Amino acid sequence: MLSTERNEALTRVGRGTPAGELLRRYWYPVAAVADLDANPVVKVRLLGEDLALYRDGQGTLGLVAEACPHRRASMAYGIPEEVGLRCPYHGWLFNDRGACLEQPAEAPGSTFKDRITTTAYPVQELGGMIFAYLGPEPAPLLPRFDLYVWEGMLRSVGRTLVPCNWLQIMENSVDATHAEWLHGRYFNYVLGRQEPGSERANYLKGLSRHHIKIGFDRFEWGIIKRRVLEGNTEEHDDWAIGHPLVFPFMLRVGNSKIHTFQIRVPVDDTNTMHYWYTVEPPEDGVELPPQRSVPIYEVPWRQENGAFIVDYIDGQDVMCWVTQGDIAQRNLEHLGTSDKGIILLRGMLAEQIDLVKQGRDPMGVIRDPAQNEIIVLPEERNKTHTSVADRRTAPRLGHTRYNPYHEEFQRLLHGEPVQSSL
Amino acid sequence: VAELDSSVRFCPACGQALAVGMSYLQEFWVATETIYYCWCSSCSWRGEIKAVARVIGVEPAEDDQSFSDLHELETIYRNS
Repeated sequence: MLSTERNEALTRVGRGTPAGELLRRYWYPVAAVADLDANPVVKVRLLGEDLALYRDGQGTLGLVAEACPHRRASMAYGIPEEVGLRCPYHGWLFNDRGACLEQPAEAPGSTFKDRITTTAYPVQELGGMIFAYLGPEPAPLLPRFDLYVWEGMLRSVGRTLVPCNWLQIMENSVDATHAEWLHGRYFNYVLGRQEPGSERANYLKGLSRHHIKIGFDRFEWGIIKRRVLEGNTEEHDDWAIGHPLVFPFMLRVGNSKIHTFQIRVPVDDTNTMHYWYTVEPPEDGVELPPQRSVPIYEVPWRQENGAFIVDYIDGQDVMCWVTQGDIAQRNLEHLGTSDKGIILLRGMLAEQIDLVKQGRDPMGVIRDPAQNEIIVLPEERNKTHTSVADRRTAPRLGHTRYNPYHEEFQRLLHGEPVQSSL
Repeated sequence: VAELDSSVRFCPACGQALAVGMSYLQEFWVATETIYYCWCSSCSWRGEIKAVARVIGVEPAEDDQSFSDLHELETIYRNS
């Protein structure tokens, strides 16, 4: 059990709230570059703030308050000009710093525009994504995590909006034993009812393995999660290397053939945009052509009748996160010793909130460019839960089954000729 | 923290009230035991506090050195 008061402090994301102030110290992906290629102005909601993201005629990115300061109409329907974004209602024009450049309906020579600004936040592009920072200036550096900057690999991004608070999703990343049950026993149960005798069930044997031991270590970027599964020892990568929760809003998971960031972007108190940012290296000896565009695709988790889609790993996770409630009532829960990773994460969150209250930078905020050339994170090479066998023939048990470019990617990764649109 | 039905109110290291600041107290259970994970925002002490309902010890074997030491200490105490 956790007190209601602490639960509020750890979960709420609005400006001025304890966690909201901590979360404003980090850069978040708010769209894919491909989104702006399709439409140069998109609506964004981040940390409870409604915003309009755009790219103007000069290629400059901007992120401004959605409500125009004139009559509050939506800038997300604005017109990108050569410089800045123009409100569709009366033509007021704002640049990426929030300065009002034009008020066409006012008298020529009026200085009214000089008294008007709109909220504007810095945005940067990296690895096919657009990142925003909503915190106090000076903004820290946008972390150059390995998956965003590694060369010679293929990238794709899955996305879905999950209608629940960000923290219960993050807690899942240090809840080691859920894999054995939700993605093992429950997955087998679902497949047994849905497709008896399914070959996919054979691939669940690793996921069903019993946890002999779980471990959690604090490290520079968050928490490394380790496990010893039945039949394994501490020599196996699952324990010897593990994989990290990158504080406060990412999970790194994968193996030598596929690397993924699960990125949980707090949209508001009760909604989280979930990205699966996936990077795949080619087979040995294969040199990939340059990837011009990183595709983004939607990952569904509800059936037409409203029921959850539970016959794939990430859908099972979403089912559990959403059914915990819009903000999980931690005052009603009963934690055991297998929940120690969750307890560690909550304690870390409280510590880091306290650091921010003291005016200090929290964990994971970097300002030294020398530390930011590339940030390489630990990750198992051979992960018991996921096969590193032939990725082309292995069934897609997770979100990648919705990647429309999967077949094209496989041909490219195996060095086969393909007419690629990317 | 104040809402938590717990006898743990103060940091065991510095004595600061745990309701102050962002101190963190999380109850969890192991079998019949109730344990509180605690982080104090005042002194940064981090640890677990266990509620003890019954103290159970283990009788040491007679050839155990610690038993011999204990017996020797007891003898010294009685003789003094």
